[in-house]
Amino acid sequence: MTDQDLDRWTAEWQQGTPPTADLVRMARRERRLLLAWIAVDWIFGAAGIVFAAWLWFVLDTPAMRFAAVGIVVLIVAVLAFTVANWRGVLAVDRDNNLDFLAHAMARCRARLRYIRFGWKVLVADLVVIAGAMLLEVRDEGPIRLLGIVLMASTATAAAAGILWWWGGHERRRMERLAAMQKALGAEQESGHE
Amino acid sequence: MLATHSASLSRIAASYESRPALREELLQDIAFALWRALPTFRQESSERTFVLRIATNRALSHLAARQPEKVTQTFSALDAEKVCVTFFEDPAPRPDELAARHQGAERLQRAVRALPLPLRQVMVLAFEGLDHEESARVLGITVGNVAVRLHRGKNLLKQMLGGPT
Repeated sequence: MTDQDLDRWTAEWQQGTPPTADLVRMARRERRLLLAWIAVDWIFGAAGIVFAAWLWFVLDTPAMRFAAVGIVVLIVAVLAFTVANWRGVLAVDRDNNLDFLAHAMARCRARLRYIRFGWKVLVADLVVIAGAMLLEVRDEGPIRLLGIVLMASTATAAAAGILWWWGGHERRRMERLAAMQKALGAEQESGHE
Repeated sequence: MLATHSASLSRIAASYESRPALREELLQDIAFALWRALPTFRQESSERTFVLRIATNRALSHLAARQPEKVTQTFSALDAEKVCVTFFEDPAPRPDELAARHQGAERLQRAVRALPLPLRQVMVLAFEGLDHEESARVLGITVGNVAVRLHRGKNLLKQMLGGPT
């Protein structure tokens, strides 16, 4: 084997240039997408706060105040994560490959911790909802109970579904990152043999 | 900078992702990461090293986020596609020559995608014109390790492509 092979392949490689992409346009599009994602988080957060304020000030029963506090706590937890996550997403691009992988794994671990925290919040929320329903039944009777149960079950099922899917996704990502780190690290160790 | 390295970045995206839609997604991801990182470029390394480091990082991130693609084409099938490629610079190559060159490059790209990740990274950086030291800086490994991986990568590519085309 000679470096003629490498020169030949390099020439061949350079000839395989795909149609030139407009990277500036692509970068702008990606930025718009990212901003849209962040905006959606904040719009949903703001809507949730407005809803909680409506529960607190308009319905103004102990049960609804209880629910409003639960909603606000959830929204604050989600938005705090969103801010921390987006800050970390592109912060380590300039590192070399191995450092980048290490950071990517650390971020993945942080997201998995956040998901575990999410399950705990969901369980706590169920306790809050159960408490709110008891107060509702005590103060207003069982008239609106069915509606509240349906709404609470739908919201809980949706949150549990998201956490379940996201947890699986992050675990698989973590496995792939670990496999990559192992492969690249193993090559590094055996590189001087 | 984005325009200057457009062709190089397109080739890198193609060496990590064969599915066109996902390749476009990866390229977009790389473009955005570069755009964000540009203000922090301080000439500590060459522009090319800086660009390729970010592209390679984004490619790893892309691989980690998705199911690995299934290899549907074996290299015995690729061997049947062997074509004669002209390697001399020709200011106005004929259409059949252009097609042959493209097929040869496509075949090489598929072979590179089939390489194990550590070897693929080094081969791609070498094809993009980085020397051992620059590749070592991009990958965070030693120069000696780059040389070893390059040697293994060349051997494997040679086996897959079956000698000169």
